[in-house]
Amino acid sequence: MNNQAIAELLRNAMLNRTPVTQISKIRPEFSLSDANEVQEIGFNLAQAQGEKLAGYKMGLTSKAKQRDVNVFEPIRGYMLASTEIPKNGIVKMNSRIHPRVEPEVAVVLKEELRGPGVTLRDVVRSIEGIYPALEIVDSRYEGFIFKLEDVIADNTSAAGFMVGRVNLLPQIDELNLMGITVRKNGAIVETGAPAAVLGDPLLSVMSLANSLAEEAKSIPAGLVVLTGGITQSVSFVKGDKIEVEWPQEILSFIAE
Amino acid sequence: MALSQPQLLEIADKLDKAEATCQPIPPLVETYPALEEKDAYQIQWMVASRALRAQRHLLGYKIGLTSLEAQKHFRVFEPDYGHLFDSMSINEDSEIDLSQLIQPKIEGEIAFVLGKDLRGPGITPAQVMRAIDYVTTSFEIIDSRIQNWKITARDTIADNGSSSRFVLSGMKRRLEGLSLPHLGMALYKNNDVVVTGSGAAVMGNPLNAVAFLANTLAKHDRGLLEGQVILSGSIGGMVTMQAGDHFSVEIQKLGRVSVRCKGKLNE
Repeated sequence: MNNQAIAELLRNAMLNRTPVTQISKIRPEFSLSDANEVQEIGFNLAQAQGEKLAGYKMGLTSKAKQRDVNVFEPIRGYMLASTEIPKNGIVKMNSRIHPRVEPEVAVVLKEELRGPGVTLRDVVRSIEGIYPALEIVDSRYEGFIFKLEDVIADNTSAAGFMVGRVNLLPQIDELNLMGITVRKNGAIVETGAPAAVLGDPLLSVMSLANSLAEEAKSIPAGLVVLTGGITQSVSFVKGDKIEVEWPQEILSFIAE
Repeated sequence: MALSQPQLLEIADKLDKAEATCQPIPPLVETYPALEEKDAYQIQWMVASRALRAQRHLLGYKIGLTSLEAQKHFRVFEPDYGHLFDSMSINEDSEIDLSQLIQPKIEGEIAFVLGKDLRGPGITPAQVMRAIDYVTTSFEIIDSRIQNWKITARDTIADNGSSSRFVLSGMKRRLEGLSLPHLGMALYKNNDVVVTGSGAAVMGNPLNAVAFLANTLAKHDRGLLEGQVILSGSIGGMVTMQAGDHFSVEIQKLGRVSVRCKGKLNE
């Protein structure tokens, strides 16, 4: 199976809600560069079907996870505008396989950020807003099990996102230690703080700008950057209510 | 079918010796299947009474099993507690000698120091709030005297809540204006963030854990005293300590504390 066929397979797995076997099992020689190519083809397929880019999402942003796979750079995926969930809305289960949710920090830029050589100060200067957010991930692989190459090819499991309304930029110095609590049907299931993301989620934006620069791309103003999961992901099923509480704002949804 | 007094004394001896020699013992519930929770607390108090007779000072208490996750894991529906003695206190930014420990793990916690006595029953979180002098960041080092951490709730209760050492930050914050559930914590191992959490991880609010402690001690006609330290419960999980490791923990608005491991663990 060539990279084009793999991209189509994964896109169809998403559209048909039918998980597939890991690519690394079908094609043992499947490499990281293949994986990146498949992600790119998949995004082009989505665009050809009328999808618009809403932003980027970062993955592999915890030091523990990085050590597990022995990769010390975050990975990225495309977020499609059609997958945005309105604040405190409904997450439709009829378009999902085995979804999970993670609390995240979303960053929106007021001016384009173009690498290489973007520094943390460049990031801070370019920020329009920092918002509480959550991401829905939903692997297109059976059992939510994959290798690094598989998950990159699968657009890093991207499946949806919600962005809050309270701009945390005035409290940027306190961001890393804001306490975040995830509840499922009222019970606390995870807690965390943004420091879980590379020690500082703004480093994730810096990393994205510099990695896009390798392909002569930038982060345009106005796009949303989801910087990486703050806690373990939390699975949910039809009927569950998920709430992500920040000191400043609560984001919630009901799975229907 | 509770244990007999001689059996309780025997277990207290074994736990004392395990700690002194760094030689852990088999799970108590395997050796003494009839061990009940109230026996376990009696053993804990026997060991604590000996410490008091040996001129050690009781500085306060630790609360454990405060997260839903821990309670599910141990199949219990309430927290437990342990005693904190002066011999367990470590200065901030100093070294901890691993050669005196068995299988230590470290946890970040919100700690309180009381400005008034607090005696149950019927203590509410609002009363707890009024009794607190200040709040600060702390580390608790837990170190089971039971082999390979193979513990049930009864094992850890008898074993003083598995408590071993604690470190308080020098920063003192008044409770006024703080929303404890919303405070974030980051625990660093050798400069990498390895655990994060929020104050809500502790029974929704660490004040709930202190109210539990005051009311539980009241059942045995004991109270919390002015000046005592309370470690309110782990936020976000524990981390194994190894030779040469450096740990620090920061809680929003409550300061940072750090500790460095020296010496080698007993193999």
